[in-house]
Amino acid sequence: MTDSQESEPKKVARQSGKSLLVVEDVSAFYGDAQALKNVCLTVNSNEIVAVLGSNGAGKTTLLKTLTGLLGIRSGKITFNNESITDMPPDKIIRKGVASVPEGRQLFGTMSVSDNLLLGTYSLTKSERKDMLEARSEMIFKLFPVLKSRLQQQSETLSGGEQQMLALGRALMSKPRLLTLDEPSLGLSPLLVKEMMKMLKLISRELGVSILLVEQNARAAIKIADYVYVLERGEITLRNTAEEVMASERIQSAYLGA
Amino acid sequence: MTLLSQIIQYAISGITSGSIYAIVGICWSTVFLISGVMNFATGEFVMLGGMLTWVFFDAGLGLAYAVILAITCTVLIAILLERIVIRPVRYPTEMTYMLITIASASVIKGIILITCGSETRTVKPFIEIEPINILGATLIPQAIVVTGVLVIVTLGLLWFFNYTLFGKALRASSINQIAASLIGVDVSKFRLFCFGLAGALGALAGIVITPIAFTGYNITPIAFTGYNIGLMAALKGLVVAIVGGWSIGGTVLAGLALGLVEGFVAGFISTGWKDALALSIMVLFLIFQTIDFSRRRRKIFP
Ligand SMILES: Nc1ncnc2c1ncn2[C@@H]1O[C@H](COP(=O)(O)OP(=O)(O)OP(=O)(O)O)[C@@H](O)[C@H]1O
Ligand SMILES: [Mg+2]
Repeated sequence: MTDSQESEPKKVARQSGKSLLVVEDVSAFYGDAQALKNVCLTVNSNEIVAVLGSNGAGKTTLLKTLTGLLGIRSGKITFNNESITDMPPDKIIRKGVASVPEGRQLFGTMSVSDNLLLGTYSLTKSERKDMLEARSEMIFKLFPVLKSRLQQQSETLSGGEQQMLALGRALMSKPRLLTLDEPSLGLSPLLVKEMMKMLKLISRELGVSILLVEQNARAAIKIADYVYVLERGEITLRNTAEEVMASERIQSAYLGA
Repeated sequence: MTLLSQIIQYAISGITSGSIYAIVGICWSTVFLISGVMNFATGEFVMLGGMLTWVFFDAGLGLAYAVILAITCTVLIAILLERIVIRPVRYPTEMTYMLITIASASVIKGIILITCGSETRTVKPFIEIEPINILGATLIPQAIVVTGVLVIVTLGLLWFFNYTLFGKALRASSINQIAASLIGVDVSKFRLFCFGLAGALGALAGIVITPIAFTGYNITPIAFTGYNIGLMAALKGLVVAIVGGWSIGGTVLAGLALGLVEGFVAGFISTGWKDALALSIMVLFLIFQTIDFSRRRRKIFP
C-alpha cells in the first residue's frame, strides 16, 4: 500500500480490436486492506488467458470483481464493449460471463441433474431447451461419469467429479467467457492434465474464451495463449505463453520453476 | 361421551389446529431459509388474513371476494414489510431481524386494534353442511376445510420446490446464495417472493380458522380471530418449524404431532396446559438442538 513507485503505463499492451474482456486500472479493497492495485488485463475472443499467483495474491478477488461479487473502488471493467463495472452477479452472467468459483460452490444437497439444470437459469426458455439437449450431450461426452450419476446428490461426488460438475454447470449458461478459479486444486496430476486438455477442447469447440486462475503454473501455461502474474494484488508480469515457456529467466523469477 | 368418542373428538380438534401450525411453520421456514430472517411478524399475517376477511365480509362483500381481497392485502403488507424494514438493513444479523420483525408485529397489531376493535371476530363457515357424527364425536365441516387446505398447500409446495425451475432455484439459493447469484438469481427478488408467499399462506391459515367459532363447536385453540392472535400463532409455527427441521415434510409432521398432543392434553388434562406444553417442547428442543444460523452468515457482498 505504501510503495508508490510510478506504475509504468504499459497498461493496455495488447491490441484491443477483438478484446472481449478489458479490465482497466481496477483497485479493490476488503475494508481498508487493498487486495487489488491498479490491475489491467485483457482477454481476447477465443483466447485462453492464465492468471498465475501464489496464495493470497488476489486471484480469487480478481474473479470476484469480474463476476460482480465484490465491488471495486476504482477502475473500469468492460465486457463485449459494454461496461459491467458495478453490475450485480445475476446481470453479469446474462452478459455471458460464467464462473467456476473457488471451492466449486455446488448446490450440495441437490442432484447432479438439478445442478446442471440450474446452470441454465439465466437463459430464455428456448435457449434453455437447446442447451439441455445439445450441450448436456457434449458435457456427458466430456465427462461420462456425470451421466452415470445424474440422480446422485452433488455433495456425495468425489472432488474431481464435483469439479467437472461445476464446470458443466457453468457451461450450461452458454457463456462467451468462462472464468475458473484454480480448477486443478485437489486433483491428481493425471486429472489436472486431463482437465486442462478439456479446457482447451471446450474453448476451441464452443468458441468460449477462458480466464484461468491458477497456482499450478506449469499446467496452466501449457494451454494458455497469454499469461499474467499477480503478486500481492499487482500484475507484475504480462507476456505471451510462448515467451514465458521459452524464457528460463521469467520462469525462475516469477514461477519458481 | 364415551372414551372412544372423546379420543376421536380430541384427535379431530388436534389435527385441525395442527394443520394451522404446520402452515404457519412453513411460512417461517420459507422466509428463514431464503433470507435468514426470523420473521416474528409471521403470526400477524395469520391475524391479518382473518381480520381483513371479517372486515371485508362485514362491509357486505361476498365471502369469496372477502377472502381473495384479504389474501391480496396481506401479501402486499408482507412485501412492504420486506421492502421498508428488512431490505434497508445495513448490518444484517439474526438479532437485528428479530427485533425489527417483533417491533413490526406490534405495529401491525396496534393498527388493527385501533381500526377494528378488540373483539374476537368470525365469519360464516365456507361449506354449509351439518356437522358429521363419527362414533359420537362431531366433525365440523370447517375442520375438513382446514385440513384440506393443509393437504393442498403441502402438495402444491412439494411440487413447486421439486419440479419447477423457479422452485429449484429457490432451494438452490437457500443452500448457497453466492452460487445462486452466480447462476443468475436475483437474490433480493427471491427474498421478496418468500415474504409474499409467507403472507399468502399465513393469511390463508388465518382465514380458514376464522369461521370455526361460529359453529358453536369452539374446540380448537385459535378458533376465532382477533387483533391479538398473532403472537401465539407465530410461536406455535416457530415450534413446529424448529422441531420439523425447517423442511416442508418435517414441519407438516411436527405441526400435526403438536396439534394432536395439544388436543389430548387440553381434552384429558386441562386447556391451560396447552400453550405451555408447546413452548416447553420448543425449549427442550433448543437445549439439545441448534438453529442453523451458520450457513446464513455468508453474505453475498462481502
Ligand atoms: N472476505 C475477505 N475479507 C478480508 N480480506 C480478504 C477477504 N478475502 C480475501 N481477503 C484478503 O485478500 C487477499 C487476496 O485474497 P484472495 O482470496 O484473492 O487470494 P488468492 O490469490 O485467491 O489466494 P489462494 O490461492 O489462496 O486462493 C488476501 O490477503 C486475503 O487475506
Ligand atoms: Mg483463491
